[in-house]
Amino acid sequence: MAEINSFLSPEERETLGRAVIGIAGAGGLGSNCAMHLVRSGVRKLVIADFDRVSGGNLNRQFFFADQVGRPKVEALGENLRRIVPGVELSLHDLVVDAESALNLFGNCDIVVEAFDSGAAKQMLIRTMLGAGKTVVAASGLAGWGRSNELKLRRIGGGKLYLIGDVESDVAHSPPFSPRVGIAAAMEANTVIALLLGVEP
Amino acid sequence: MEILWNGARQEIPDGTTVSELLAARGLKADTVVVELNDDISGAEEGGRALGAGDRLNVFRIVAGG
Repeated sequence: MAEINSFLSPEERETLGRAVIGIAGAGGLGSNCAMHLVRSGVRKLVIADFDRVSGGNLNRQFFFADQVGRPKVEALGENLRRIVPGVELSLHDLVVDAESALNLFGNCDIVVEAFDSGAAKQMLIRTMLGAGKTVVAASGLAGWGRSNELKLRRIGGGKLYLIGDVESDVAHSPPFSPRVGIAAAMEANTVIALLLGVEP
Repeated sequence: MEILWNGARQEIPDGTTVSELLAARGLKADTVVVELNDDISGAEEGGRALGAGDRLNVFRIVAGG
């Protein structure tokens, strides 16, 4: 198969291919972010999620109807390998807590926060920042419209990148594919920029 | 004394701590990320008294993914 990133320089391809990116959560954010990263040349991912694919997930998550009921990390791994068969995936079907997060993502260059609950987001952000990791996270992506409110914020001198409108909670309006997808793509875009040393 | 709250000038009583200010605005410390003068290490723990000219940025972490 032809290299799908033939428009990257050999150095850029090497940089993206060598990086290890952690993705905490394989739902709307994590599954789509992983897809973008693999399409962009990232070849080493550590992905963790405890959940199973449900029919309701298909409104925004990178899964298919025939994968309903299967562990998300397993289904996502299958889908990512359909894009790049040789992608190196470390897949973990488990609940991520502070202790397991350090074990799972301690060797990652950048960690993407892709959870659903606010408490899990906080846990991951604090744990990984405490371990000295650069974290790319998302907060505020529910509903539709208001595209221009989805922003990237550089926090703590570049230790944390926070994407979203930091307001729209899924408690008040449901998550839909476009806004979740925009946030997931912005997470991937930020990771790529950080790896290539350009302005996120 | 005056501080900057999310970029806007705010007058607060001398000696106000981060957690007191969050509570006064109805924000729970475990639902926000706090950046104090470009530092995010533990500012949300809150015990620290703010000083004049401090730049405090508060970001809500809300559910959805």
